Amino acid sequence: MTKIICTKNVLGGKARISGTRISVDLIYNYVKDNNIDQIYTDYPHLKKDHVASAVEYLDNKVHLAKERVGLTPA
Amino acid sequence: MVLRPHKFKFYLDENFPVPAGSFLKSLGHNVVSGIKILREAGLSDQKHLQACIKQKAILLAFDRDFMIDTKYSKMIASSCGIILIEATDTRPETAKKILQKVFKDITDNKIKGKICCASIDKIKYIQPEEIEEG
Repeated sequence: MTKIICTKNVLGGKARISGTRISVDLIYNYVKDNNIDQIYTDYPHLKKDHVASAVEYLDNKVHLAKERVGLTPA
Repeated sequence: MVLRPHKFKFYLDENFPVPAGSFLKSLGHNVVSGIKILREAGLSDQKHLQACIKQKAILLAFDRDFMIDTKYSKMIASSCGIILIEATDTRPETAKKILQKVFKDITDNKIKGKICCASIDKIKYIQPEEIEEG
C-alpha cells in the first residue's frame, strides 16, 4: 500500500500521498462529500491505492481522536 | 471597438484539479501543467516554483506551501506571480468561482512578483517580503 508521508520541502510538510503532491486533506474533501469517484477525474494521476491509503490514514486519525476524548476503548 | 479580455499564461501545480485547467483553456488562457512539464509527480515546492519561473507563467495553487518558507521570497519576487486559491474545498467548481472573481481584478503588473490570495469573499495581494516563516 502507498505510504502517507510528510516532508518539509513538499507541500510545506503537509501529510501527503507518497510520490505525489496530493495532500490527505485534499482527499478528505472528496471523502466527506461521498464523492470519491470524482477525484480520479480531477486528478487523473491518482490511483485507487493512493486514495485507499489516504482514507486509511484518515480513519486512523479519527480513531485516535475518538480514543483521546474517550469515545472508544483504547 | 470591442475590448478583448486579457489572456494569461498559467502553470498548474500538481494539486490543481485538471477540469479547472480545462476551464481556463476554454476562456482562451494558455495553461501548462506542472506534472507534464516536470514529467514526475511528487516533486518539491522549489522545483515547481523554478519551473513556473522558467515558463514565465502565473502559478496556480491551493496550498500555502509557497508562503510558509522565506527561502521562496526571492524566487517569488522574480516570478510572474502566484494565485493562491484559499478554500478548504479544492474541487474544480470552487476554483472556477474564485478564478472568475480574480479575473475581474488582476493584471500582469498587479500580480507580477506577488502572491494573490483569493477566496470567495476577498482578494489580497501579498509582497514576497511579507512572507513569514512557519
